Amino acid sequence: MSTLLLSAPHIHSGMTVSRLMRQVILGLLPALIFGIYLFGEDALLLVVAATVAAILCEWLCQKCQKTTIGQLTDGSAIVTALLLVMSLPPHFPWYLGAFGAAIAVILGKQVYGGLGQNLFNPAMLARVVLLISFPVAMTNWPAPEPLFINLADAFTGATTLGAVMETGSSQVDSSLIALLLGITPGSLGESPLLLLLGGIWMSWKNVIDWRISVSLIIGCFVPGSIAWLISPETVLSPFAQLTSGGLLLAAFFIATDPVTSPTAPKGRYWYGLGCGLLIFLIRVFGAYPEGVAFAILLMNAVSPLIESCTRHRVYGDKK
Amino acid sequence: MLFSHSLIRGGVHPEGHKQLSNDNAIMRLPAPRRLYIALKQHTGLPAKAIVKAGDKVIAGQLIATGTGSSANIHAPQSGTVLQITDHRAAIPGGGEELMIHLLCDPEQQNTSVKLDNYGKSRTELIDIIEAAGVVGMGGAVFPAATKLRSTLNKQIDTLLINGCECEPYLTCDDKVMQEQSVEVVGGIRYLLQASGAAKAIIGIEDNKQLALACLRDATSEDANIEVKSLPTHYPMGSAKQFIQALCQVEVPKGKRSTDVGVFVQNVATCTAIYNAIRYGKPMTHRVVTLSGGALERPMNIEAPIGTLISELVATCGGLKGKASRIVIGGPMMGHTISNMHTPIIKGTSGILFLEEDELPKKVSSPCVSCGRCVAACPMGLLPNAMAELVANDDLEGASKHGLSSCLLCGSCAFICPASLPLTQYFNYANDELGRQKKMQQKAQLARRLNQERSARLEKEAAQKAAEKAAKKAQRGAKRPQKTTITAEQEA
Repeated sequence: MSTLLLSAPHIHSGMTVSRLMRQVILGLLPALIFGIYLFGEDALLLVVAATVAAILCEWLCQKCQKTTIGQLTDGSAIVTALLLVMSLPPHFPWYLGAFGAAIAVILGKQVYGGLGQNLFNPAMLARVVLLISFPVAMTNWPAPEPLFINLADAFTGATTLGAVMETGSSQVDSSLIALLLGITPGSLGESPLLLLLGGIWMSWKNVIDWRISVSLIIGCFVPGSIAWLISPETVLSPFAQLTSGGLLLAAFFIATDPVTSPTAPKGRYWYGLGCGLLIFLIRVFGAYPEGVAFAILLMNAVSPLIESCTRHRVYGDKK
Repeated sequence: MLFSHSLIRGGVHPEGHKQLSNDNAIMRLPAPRRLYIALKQHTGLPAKAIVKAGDKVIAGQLIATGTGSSANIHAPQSGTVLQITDHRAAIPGGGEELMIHLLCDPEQQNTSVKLDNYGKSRTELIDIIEAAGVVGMGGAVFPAATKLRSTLNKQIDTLLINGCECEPYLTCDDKVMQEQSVEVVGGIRYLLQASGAAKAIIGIEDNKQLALACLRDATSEDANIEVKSLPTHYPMGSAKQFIQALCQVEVPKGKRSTDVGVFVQNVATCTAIYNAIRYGKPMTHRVVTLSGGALERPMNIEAPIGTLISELVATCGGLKGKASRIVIGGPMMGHTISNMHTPIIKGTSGILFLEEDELPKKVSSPCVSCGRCVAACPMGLLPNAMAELVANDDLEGASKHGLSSCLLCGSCAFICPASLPLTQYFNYANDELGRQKKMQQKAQLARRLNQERSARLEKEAAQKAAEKAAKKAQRGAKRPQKTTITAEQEA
């Protein structure tokens, strides 16, 4: 009889990295599909182009660089591409989207050595590259033109956050339902309700850590509310702050990226709070109307520091 | 599982697979023809055989005496000692060990007598337990008497009886609690006496409702024995976590459970202690779980120590599928063996025959720092960081992260989405550190001996020189005389 002598444990939970990636994609799908529905075939083309580019670059890098770790089949390239396109303007040129996806995979991940090695969130890195390189295309916000429903009025060419920055007034044109569903000018995947749905499902399935999501929302909501109470005319209402921009996408899908966030629970609270606070600060005091990408990248940079500052107590050590 | 409060830190919830083997009553194995009784029943020094080839022994007779950390070994059956020689053992990594080969008689002589052991002192009770060769049956296989003796100069408040059996597949403790609850409780009463504890708490995971009911029933008249239901949560049965769950105290690093006033013992050990004190029966048998998808009829068997695993498999109707892995102990912490012609020892709680689809996949993917291992570690360690340090051969750094606190419980490796062999890293690192320490001690000894030698040589040389000088001086003084003598001799 041939039996392999292998080390314990001899059973496994069955969770794999590729299953995690699949579940993240599943969590993203409702908001993504709704975004495509809202913004039409240009958005679909962008999604397809970025995904294909990401997969191709991943494959190419793994071919060229023998020491790279990770497999094409683990699905991480697709997650990266989808997260990138969800944070882009829906009618962003597809070839620039593909370029962004290539940046994300090659400069964001593969140069570091592959899956799990990168310091910064690849999708956010690529978004910042695109924002700096193509500022016009990156700030062109078309009004949603959903099929079947006629929403001819009430839409301008500015996002909720952008309008506040331009006019200095916290007047929101959109209705409550429009804000909740994300039927406003904005990025491709910005439907708050559907992002929340996907996020809660992923938390329940233990795909992401709710600690980061909750603390990120608190980190933005609390100072945001205080600022609104002080100056309600110029600062968006807390509800509009939560539902606009990439806040929920960041809370559930981007900040929760395991590779670039701390591993220990205590560190995750601080990381989330930091992300939330930075988002608030950039939105209110920064030069850009939205600060998710910068906030995430900044917190990525301090993540190892947070990790080493928040070591928890080992069993049996002094309390 | 978003917000779950738990009695212990971390941990995992593996599938139980307990129903495979806990349907039937414990089967008593008919006397096997041959037994192979290992002199080394646990870590530490082997026992010393006091019989020789050709000796006739009767059941329960002392055949090997414990030395140091080992315990006495008795003949499980009457028979003849064939030889005392090496035989394949069911130990990690395979290999052979010295064993007493016993050819059993078909007719068994029974030595069991009811003893009157009322009113014995603590030390007398401990002596009886020691003579009977009782060892902890939960896995550590530490001699029960040695552990008890360490309580003599300490204040023990609570006796904790471990009936968690948190390892999947295993049901031997569960069946013992169901079928031998009287013996278990009897043993607990003796242990209360021997340890000087005021009360006992029996902790049982809530997936063993029958065992809970049986022990509640058996302890209904004991005011100082409490039966507590614990959530099914691996590794609840690990002594440190068990103490934490029942007493809300942690055992400080480097200390023993007796230092925090608790004494932990396994339920099956209580039965052995009861039999030893009440009936003078030494520990010669144990209940073993045989389970796994590849086994025809998984069950619990009470077998003599030294029975071959192949014989137990035959009793279970053989294998129905391909056993891709044979595991001794539970699937979370057990070790694999490659040969079924090896005997069971006092610490063998289970033998699992696992099919391919029950096993984890063998390929690892890269770590994505998801932190699941950190959340799962019951000791609050950082398995991912430690594994990376070990992989880079920085054992010193891994030690600073608390490597020595690792229980090797396997929770981190069980949950790891990347299927990283985390436990293997820590096992290796601990072994390697132990080896390095040994080498260091050896080197120190060699250096000391070397220094002593050179000191001695120097001293000798100095002495020689002094002698030489003295002689020379003497010679100088006696020269005229000496020359005459030589002259005479020459003449």
